[in-house]
Amino acid sequence: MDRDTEFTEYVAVRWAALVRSAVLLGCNVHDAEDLVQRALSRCYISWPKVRTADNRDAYVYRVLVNAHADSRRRRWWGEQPSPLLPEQADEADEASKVDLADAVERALGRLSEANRSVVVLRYYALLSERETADALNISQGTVKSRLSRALTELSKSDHLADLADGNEG
Amino acid sequence: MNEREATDLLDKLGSQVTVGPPPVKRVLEDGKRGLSRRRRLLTTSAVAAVSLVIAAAALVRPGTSVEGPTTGGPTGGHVRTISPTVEPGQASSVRTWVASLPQGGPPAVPYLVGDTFHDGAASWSTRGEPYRVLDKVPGGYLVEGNPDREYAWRYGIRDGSGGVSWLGAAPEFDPLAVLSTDHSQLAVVAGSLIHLFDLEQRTELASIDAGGYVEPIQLVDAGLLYAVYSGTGNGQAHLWKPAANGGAPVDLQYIPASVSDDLTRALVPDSNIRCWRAVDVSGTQVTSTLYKSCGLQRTYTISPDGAHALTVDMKVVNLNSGTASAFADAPTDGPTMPDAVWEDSEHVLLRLELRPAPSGLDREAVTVRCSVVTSDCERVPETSGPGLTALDFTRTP
Repeated sequence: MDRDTEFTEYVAVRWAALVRSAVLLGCNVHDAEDLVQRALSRCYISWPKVRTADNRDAYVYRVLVNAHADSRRRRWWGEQPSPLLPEQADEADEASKVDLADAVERALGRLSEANRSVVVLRYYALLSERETADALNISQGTVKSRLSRALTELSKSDHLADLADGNEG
Repeated sequence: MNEREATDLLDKLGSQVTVGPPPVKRVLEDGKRGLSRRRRLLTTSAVAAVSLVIAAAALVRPGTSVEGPTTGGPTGGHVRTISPTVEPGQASSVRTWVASLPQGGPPAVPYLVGDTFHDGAASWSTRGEPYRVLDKVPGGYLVEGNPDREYAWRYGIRDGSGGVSWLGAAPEFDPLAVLSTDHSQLAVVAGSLIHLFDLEQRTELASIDAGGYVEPIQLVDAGLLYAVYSGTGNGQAHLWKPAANGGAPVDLQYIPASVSDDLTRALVPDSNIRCWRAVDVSGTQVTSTLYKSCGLQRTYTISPDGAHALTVDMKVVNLNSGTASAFADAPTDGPTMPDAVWEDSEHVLLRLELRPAPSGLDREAVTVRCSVVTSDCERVPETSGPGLTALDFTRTP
């Protein structure tokens, strides 16, 4: 299968999960889509490397996590020129976005960035411990210890029980 | 909280995120632009080797009058949006059109067909080689591999016996690289670090920490043009001259998709997302807009000399006259944004998808060579069918 065919199929199948993962990592939905688009464009250029990786998802998630971490480091950049025209906000849509951001932040906001990344890749992207380690360029032991700490932190959250019961959101 | 509960929690949160349909075409287009600008040709020797069988002199088919070169400031000048109407070619399928073309010579640059690498009279099977051949460089062939550990790619030079001399230290994850126009230097970007190698001496010349998510654009005479992204799609172009201290921002307004070898002309996105502009950048800033086009007429790759650009719908724009034209007798329903590989400033190799594909998942494609000066095209032998792999650096199909 050629590069375009493989890549197109990959994007079609993985787009939603990648965007949702970016939201869980801390992006708003719009930034998440931009972030994933940039990560995937980069992966297209690197596709010969991606396709020969043991796990394509782990490779792509690593590109995504790197891009996300870099975006957080570079917040001081402020406004930059963009070819994208801003979309007109819809009040109801904006309200739902605020609710979503609030729910995500209350659920995961108490985790450190490192622990949050491990949690999202392991429990949402469903990468194995080894794949999570590869994606984050850390050891499997570090993955286990971060997961353990993260689960302990999450257990302390007052909001999660309600969320799990479907009483929020 | 146990693992099952954590999975359920993340799943519940994720399910609340409303995601639109995947912008497959846009992502693919961005990727193609990124790949296209890295494909630079060793122009000096390769051009002479081209065996062109361009058909009898044909006239460039100018399109309906479009706005010519426009001067003015980068933001203040009035530039009317151009939607050029080109003279329609013969309405025939790509397959029929390609079959009618004369046979030309093989690509003038190294290329792969399946597992077989070709460089002029030389060819060998790359099956089983623990690296990927990228292009011809002084003293051998540039390769990419991860000889030390997984996810740590390095670049090296393969000699005639198949042995590889690796360059520098192991780079970080997912490096991207660009070759200089004469293939004597290689810039490798990994993370926020940029390394510049001298391929003749096989030594590292310089390195720089760009301080952010970096992608190389082109290694031109003026230096390395690269983009630093904020990670959310916004970014800024920088120009790094190793002799100077660090990379300096250049005022190209947006990240260019493609620049001429002398960094005098570039293709940049417009504030209207559907449009692209060809601009005169005079090295470091936009001095005028040469051409602006939108929709399927938007440009996506510029010739090495900056005189011509290709549009998504496979037309040629003469940036000196501001006219658009179709390739001779090309079908109006041809492929959009075919992989473009410039052999030199006049000739471009286009990888065309044939429709309909006869069977299977692979898209059947064929390579043609077209002249942006005469508008004539010819078939390139032994490059049709599935299995042909594009090289990252050469402009081969």
